[in-house]
Amino acid sequence: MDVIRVKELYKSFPMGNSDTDILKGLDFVITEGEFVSIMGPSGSGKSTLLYLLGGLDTPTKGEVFVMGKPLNTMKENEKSLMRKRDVGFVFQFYNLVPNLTVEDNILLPLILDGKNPKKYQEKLDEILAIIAMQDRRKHTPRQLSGGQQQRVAIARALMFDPSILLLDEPTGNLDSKNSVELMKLFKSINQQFNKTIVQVTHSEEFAAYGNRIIHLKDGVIV
Amino acid sequence: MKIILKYIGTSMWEKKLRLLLFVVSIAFSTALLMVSMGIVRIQLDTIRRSVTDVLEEHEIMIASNTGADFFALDTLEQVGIDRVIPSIVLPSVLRNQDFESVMLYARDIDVISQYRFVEGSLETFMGAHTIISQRVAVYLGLALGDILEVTIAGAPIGLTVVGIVENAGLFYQDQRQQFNMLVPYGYVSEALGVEGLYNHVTARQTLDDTAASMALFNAHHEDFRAFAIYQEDIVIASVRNQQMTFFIMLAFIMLVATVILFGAFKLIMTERQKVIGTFFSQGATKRQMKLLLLSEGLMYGLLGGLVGILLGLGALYALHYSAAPLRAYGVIPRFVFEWELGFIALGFAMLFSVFACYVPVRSINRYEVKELILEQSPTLPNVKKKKFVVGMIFLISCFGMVYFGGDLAVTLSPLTLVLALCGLILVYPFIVSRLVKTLFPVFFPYVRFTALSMNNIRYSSSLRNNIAIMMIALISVITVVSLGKGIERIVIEAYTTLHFDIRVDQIKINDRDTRATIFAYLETHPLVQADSISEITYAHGHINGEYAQLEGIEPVKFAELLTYIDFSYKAGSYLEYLHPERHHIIASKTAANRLHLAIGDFVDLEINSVVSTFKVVGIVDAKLWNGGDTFFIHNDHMKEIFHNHNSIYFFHTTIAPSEAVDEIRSYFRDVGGITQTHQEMERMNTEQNQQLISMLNFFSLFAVIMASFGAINNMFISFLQRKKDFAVMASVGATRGQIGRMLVMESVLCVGFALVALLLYVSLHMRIVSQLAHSIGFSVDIQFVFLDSALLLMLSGVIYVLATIPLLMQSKKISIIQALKYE
Repeated sequence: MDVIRVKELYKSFPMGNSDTDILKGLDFVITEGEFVSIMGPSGSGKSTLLYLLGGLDTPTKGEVFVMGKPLNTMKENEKSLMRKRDVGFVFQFYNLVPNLTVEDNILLPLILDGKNPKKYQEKLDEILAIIAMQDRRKHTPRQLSGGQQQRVAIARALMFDPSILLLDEPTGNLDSKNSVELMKLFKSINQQFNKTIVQVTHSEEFAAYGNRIIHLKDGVIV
Repeated sequence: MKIILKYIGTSMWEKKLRLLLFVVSIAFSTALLMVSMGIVRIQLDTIRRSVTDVLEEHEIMIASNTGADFFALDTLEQVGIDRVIPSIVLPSVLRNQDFESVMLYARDIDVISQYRFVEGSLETFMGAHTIISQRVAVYLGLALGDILEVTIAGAPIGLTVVGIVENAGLFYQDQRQQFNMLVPYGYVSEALGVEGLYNHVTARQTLDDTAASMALFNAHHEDFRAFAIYQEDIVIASVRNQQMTFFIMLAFIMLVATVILFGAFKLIMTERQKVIGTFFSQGATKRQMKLLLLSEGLMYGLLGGLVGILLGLGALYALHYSAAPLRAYGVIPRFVFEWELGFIALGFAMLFSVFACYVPVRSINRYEVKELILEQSPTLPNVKKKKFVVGMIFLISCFGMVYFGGDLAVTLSPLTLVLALCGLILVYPFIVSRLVKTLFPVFFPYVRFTALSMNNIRYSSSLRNNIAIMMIALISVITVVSLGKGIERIVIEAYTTLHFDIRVDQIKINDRDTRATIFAYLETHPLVQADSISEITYAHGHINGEYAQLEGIEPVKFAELLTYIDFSYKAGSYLEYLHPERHHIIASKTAANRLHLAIGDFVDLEINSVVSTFKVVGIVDAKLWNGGDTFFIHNDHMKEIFHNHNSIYFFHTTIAPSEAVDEIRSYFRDVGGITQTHQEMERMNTEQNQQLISMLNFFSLFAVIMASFGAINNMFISFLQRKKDFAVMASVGATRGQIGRMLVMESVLCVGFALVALLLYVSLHMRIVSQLAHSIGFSVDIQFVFLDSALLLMLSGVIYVLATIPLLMQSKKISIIQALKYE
């Protein structure tokens, strides 16, 4: 099943008086359960592509389909719903809410969806066990190391049981030991729960954890 | 919900200083609103309490329709009234003490039984005996058996103290220098030769409405008429100016507070960009995010509102305390706080906070989620020009209204003031931008860092917001200073154009004979210039059902006494129309505006329940004379139609007033009059006005301090937004000192731009404020007083520049790597 389908995707940004093309007519498909790594030099448009896949940014031209639904025609609220239920994000700088505890951060997508967090305690325990953070559940992000914060971000991304995980340089801010542990965690999530994962990375080593690599250069797939 | 509340709570608590800024701004606005609304209630309560207690909870006074001051009650029926208390009331002084003014209440035993005795009893209350209050006994060191010497019917009489009662009812207001005494009716009536007659009769209303009770009573009696003793609208009118002053200050403080809250919330938005982005990335909708942030605003409002209620309560209690007439004796009436006022204030605080936060929160619409996550500023359309055009339309409309709008300009002045300030705020960013664009290349080769600072203002909306905050605060400073000077000037002018040496006030005349006696005394006294005596009779009444202050004057004498008011018109003087044969009335401009009167209108004038029709023959600018809201009729009408006897006498003396005053004062003490020289009166009035000016000054200073808080806030926003720029400058060799100098220069330039804008706007503003003052009854033409304002403006400028210090400390912590890491 096609989880993500990209057709003739263009993205340009205004630079001075003219527009600069970041992505130039991309076409590709990602199927269910794939672990895809997007690689490329700085300015190749990797992160821009990831944000477009997650509906965080809008393309200049072309279409993105997530779970068969076109993002172009989706209203802002529908995109929010999609981000809540179908897609989980993990960012390089963790993007946790600093004044909420670990478990509050993990429960955030549910709260935003109007769900009663009390009913999800079992799920929460299960996810905390996956990321091995049961003993830190009442800590705030400030009291955690970078690796631990990133694991909380992963747990949050998994809370809604989304089909897709989008990872924006998830190891970019971590040391090599933590990075390896994290990549192993992603691999197991991919294999154990059949989650589709798309990650943006600079590292050949971590790109290899995926089963497919898309190389971007000057806005095109090479 | 719990997690969301926890998030809001921790977010609020995260930055304590900012929380304080929110709470202080909202609290002061709330407190001022409470004071503005509560002042009338406080004054009403205080006056109502002191009046109704002394009147023994009676609302109605009964007088004779025959004009006789002493009258019998044989034909009086208790219709519309009950609990009638008849008395003979006589003013006098204590001759064997320190010439205290006293009021003798001669009554029968059966109507004084309600007083609780501390010492003595009613058993011996007969003959030359008296009952006094406990407070007076303590202050004058009196005991049972002591004798007090008074004058009754011109003869000195010694009254023996046979009872000391608690300070309730008649004795509630007793003070050391002025108090009431009960004396036996039989004894006094015999001494005066008026047995069976009374000159002071009060009663309680039997219907819910005083007017209805009076109407019922009057319909049943030909010999008597009833009138209200205490009229609430008189008190309301007397505190109206004070209330309006509070409301004007509230408007300024609210304007400053709005800009501050606006800025503070913008800072929150800037700082939390990443968190907001995180929420979005987790599926939050823009509506959810806005609701979340507005809930935070609501919580600030709740917190600030609660603190504001406490502050307002404190301020209202202080006003209540200072209004208590007997506070020198430690007698403070019970302070009653109306919770309704608290709820209104809390509602206001929450709405105000949400309103002030709404615009920054709405800016969420402009952001792309990606921009938020990466903490990028949104690319905003250039709206300066559009705003400039709208602002110019506002300013030109205001200019047209202010200079060519006539009377409509006075009526619409509150709206014009708001519109003009909005116009100024909308116009200046474009002007600053254009100015900097022109000046930058000129300055850059010579003063690089100053030129760069100037350029920063052009590109940073936060720095430009600082100019707005400063402008508003500086405008409130010059408004207050100029208003104060205007009031001072007009008070001085009032006294230099009021031609008398001595004035005698508050004479409690109960009959025509006393009036004749007083007049005879003044006319024949060697120290008084007989042809200079001018009598003004005062009354409170209603015109077309609305409250009105009336002055009965003798036109020729009044024109000599007072040149402060210009009664002239093209063909002569309006005073010529005031004639004993014609029912004519002259209105002050403020009164005419309030009651929508024009020359030629006929009005129903009611005083003491007597109604008569008068024609408006003139409208004059009474400036601040008796508050500026007054009417003039002929003195004969006041006496003959309305039976009013409350007079003030003005006259010149044959020797220096300071030498003549003691002798005249000792005579008038016997009739309860207050004697003042021109100099004493001027001093007293200046002091009273000074209180108002000091209060205004306090608020303007407060506006400056609040604004400097706001300025710090905006400087921080601007700094955070430009952190990367500073890091880039540091990475290419700019020293901390140079960056610091640039930040200080930005503040100095903001102050400079604000001052320039202010000087360009000030003449329009002063004109609007003058019209606003006229609209609320202060007939003052306000001019910009540069020298007096200069010091305060300089002080304000220094405060703003000093506000840069916290920012300088923050700038030292800047980490080039951290700031540039996304690059």
